[in-house]
Amino acid sequence: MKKIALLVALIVIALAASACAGGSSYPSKPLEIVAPAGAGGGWDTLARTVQRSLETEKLYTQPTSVVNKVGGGGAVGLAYVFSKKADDYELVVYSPPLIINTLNKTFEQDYKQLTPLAKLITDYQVILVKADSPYKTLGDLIAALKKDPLSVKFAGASSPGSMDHLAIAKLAKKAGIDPNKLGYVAFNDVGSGLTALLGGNVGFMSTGVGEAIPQIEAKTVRALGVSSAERRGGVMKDVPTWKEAGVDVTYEVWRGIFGAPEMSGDAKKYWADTLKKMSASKTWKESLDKLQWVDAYADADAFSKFLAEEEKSYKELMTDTGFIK
Amino acid sequence: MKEERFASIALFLFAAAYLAMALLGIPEPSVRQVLGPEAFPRVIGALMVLLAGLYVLQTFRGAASEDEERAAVIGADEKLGTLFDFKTVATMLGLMLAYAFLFEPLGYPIATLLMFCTSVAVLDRRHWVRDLIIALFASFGLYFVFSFLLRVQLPAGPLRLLGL
Amino acid sequence: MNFFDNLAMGFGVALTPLNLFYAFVGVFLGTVIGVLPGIGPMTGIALLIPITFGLPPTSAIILMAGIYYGAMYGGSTTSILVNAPGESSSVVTCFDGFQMAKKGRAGPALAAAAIGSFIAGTFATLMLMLIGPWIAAFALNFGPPEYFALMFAGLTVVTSLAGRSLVKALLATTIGLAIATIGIDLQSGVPRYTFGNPEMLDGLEFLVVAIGLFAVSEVIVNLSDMRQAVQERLSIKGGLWLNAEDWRRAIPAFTRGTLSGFFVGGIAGAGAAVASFVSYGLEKKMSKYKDELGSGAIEGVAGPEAANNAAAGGAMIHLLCLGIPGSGTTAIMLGALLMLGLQPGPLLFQQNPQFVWGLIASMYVGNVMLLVLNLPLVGMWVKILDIPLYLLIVFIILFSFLGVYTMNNSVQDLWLMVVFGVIGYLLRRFDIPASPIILGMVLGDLMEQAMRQSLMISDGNLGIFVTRPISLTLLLIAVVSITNPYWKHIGRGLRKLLGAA
Repeated sequence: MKKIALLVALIVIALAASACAGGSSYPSKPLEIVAPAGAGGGWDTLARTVQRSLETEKLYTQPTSVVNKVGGGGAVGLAYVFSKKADDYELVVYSPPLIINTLNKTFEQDYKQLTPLAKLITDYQVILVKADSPYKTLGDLIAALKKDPLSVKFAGASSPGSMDHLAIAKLAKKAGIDPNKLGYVAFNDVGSGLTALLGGNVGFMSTGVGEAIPQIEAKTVRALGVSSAERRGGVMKDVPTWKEAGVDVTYEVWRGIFGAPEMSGDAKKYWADTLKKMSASKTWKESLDKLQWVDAYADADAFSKFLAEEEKSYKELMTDTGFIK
Repeated sequence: MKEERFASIALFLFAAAYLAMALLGIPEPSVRQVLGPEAFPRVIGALMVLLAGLYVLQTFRGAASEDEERAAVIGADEKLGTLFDFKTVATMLGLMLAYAFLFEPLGYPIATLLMFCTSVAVLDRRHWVRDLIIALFASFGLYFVFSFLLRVQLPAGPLRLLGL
Repeated sequence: MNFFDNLAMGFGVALTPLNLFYAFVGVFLGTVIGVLPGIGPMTGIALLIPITFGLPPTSAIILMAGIYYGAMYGGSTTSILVNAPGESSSVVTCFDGFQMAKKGRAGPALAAAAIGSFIAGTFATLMLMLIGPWIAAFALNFGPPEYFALMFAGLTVVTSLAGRSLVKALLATTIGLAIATIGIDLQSGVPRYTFGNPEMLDGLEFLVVAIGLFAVSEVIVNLSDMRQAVQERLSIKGGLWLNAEDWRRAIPAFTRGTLSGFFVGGIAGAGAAVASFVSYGLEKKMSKYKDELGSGAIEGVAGPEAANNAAAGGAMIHLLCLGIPGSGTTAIMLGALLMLGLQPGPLLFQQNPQFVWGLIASMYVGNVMLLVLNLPLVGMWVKILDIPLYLLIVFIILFSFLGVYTMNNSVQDLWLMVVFGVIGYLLRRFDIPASPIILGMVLGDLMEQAMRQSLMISDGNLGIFVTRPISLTLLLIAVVSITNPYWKHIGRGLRKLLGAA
């Protein structure tokens, strides 16, 4: 046992010595990027793409790693990042659920204490119907919903009150349909939602463009409208925007990157610079193409403003739909 | 068996607590629901209370309900022996809890090395040299296999400062 | 091009040295991932995706499919040897696999698992090749009501898991169902039984409970009489390979497991874990040796292990023919395929025939490789049982921790695992079976969600469950399987009644 103790002591001393040896300028330590969900999801893919771009483009010279903190729609990840207050070497990626889950009190912490660094990419919601559906246009669908909101049920891949549901609620409200009367059926994942749509169990589906593209291309489903301000290209070029279809709303599924609360000025400056470089880099652009993500880079200031607007908009929408009491 | 009476009562209390929460503690959802979030827990809770109640009755009436004949035929798990080495079990459980507690702060390699060596010291220390070598492989060796071969990030603890 | 040209082209692609190499790397890594408890094929593939970036698409998918199958093969190993399930689909393998190991028959158990996996994997690939698109179209008939009926039928398996007392088994099932209600309720978004703990919002991880109840409790059992009792090693008695008797008993189980697993997991898309439970229940009802199940019958390994691989193969059909992932792992593969510039779905066969047929051929090749790789490994794995007991215990603790932690990087899961270890020990002491808890956990959540989705769709009309043919059939099967032990009594009672009248 003595020998073991000695060995452990030696290791500890060696580590302590190496820790002190580092310089004082940022960055002098390995970076940890938190993906607040499991491997393979949207947040995880973003975190890993950022990590790979930083590494390949030699933008961050110290080692980098991605850690998955899974649970509660991001609650576990947020608690973890809050426990690392003032640690300049913790970054985390998030998207609208950060605001939604703060407003509906799933999150105990206030996301506004995080340090917004940059908005990176965005996706949009799309409304899908089965290829042989009687609803040929978004107008048809809205007319049917106006007559009786419950006559057409719709599927989404998350609980009521999260993005797939709220996007349609926003659309419905603008179109003059009571968003509280919609017949939303929640599925575990996009796959089971699509199965229910193709099997004729639900009338339409609300999902992200990225997930819908294979089915749109195969023409098993028809996309009635996309939530972007302007038409998308490629497979989506014939799909009208919601605005074109007569309802003047947009819905954006943004993804951005944050630092831990109380990040130092040095670190903020470093990341403002580095993330800008990264978003213009070849590795990053190539990954975006492959993943069919839309570049939506905005620097820290613009991102903060954007977040404030998003919060306002969600607050209104969620109050109307009863998710904030 | 007296012990089993306690167990059955504990289970009954657990079931009752679960049912009570199903009746009182599930928040009202903000969306329209045909069947709300409280329905299943209430049914499950009621069934559980009923079954746990039956179990309590059985333990107080003696083990008559246990179908030993059937058990012999179907070869159900043998019942555990009565031996119970409290000291060893408690020490090892304590060790497991300590391992869980130190897993992130110390990092996988160091925490595992400590757990391994202490367990060996508790259980059988005759071959400690061999076991120490094995422990080094299981802690630092596996750590490298996970990080570099499988790309699974294990907590590095203080080793993170070395950039490992 | 006709079918045989396509297949020949496929083998032309799969048998290039490079693709053979990737198939091998895939099945090897998959086996490693499968053997380690915790890290499943899903995490494994997600983490290895970056490696595939530089590869041609066909090589990349061959690598990923190899990992998927390899993990299904490897998952049973630790279930059989040390009662620690490597994947959620291998929990059922613990029931009889570990009992076989205790009797010194770990060799035949491992061999049966490998052979069952091979048969089922090959069968699923054959189905994909011959009638993939038809199966995919049929699969769309499984909506929420059919899911509910399927899960309900699955729940009747509990009668097969009961040990000495039905009350205890049913009680254990309700405990499992209760655990399944923990977390945010998908249909309403409200938290249930989370006590304000953010990590509870996603509910309890199924493998954390399973590893606690089985592996950790086994550790406690061993520790509790370590010093007094004469330690008996689980060393091998008899051969490593299946003997004639084993073959005779395993073959019907392979067949039943493959077919039921392919239906439940493959066509209906209920997942490999549910498929393995259903197969176990089926063995308990249909095997000639049903009374031995639970105490180390080879059918209990052969059936479920075939079933989970048939399910995995079926999930590939969903992915390739529909472009809809039928499991978590295939969802990750879908993402990876998109990144490689391929659109899985009905068009894939027309647009990328080389890719599809190359993959199909490589699945045959991969299954052969896995069999060749795994059978000799049996000899190596069983040596693990010769490790001195105290070291084996330390290793089980270590691997349980490692596996549970890597699932969610959560320390809380480690605490839970130890707690469930203690609970598992107590359950064994009072002879309450642990397996129905797992069954309840697996089926409970899916069943509740499916029922509520159905009622949402039908505006509360319960008729939705009995007016759809597949749902009705499944419900009738459930009723028959619950009541059939009592038919004799009822028949006798009726006759008496009629005779008296």
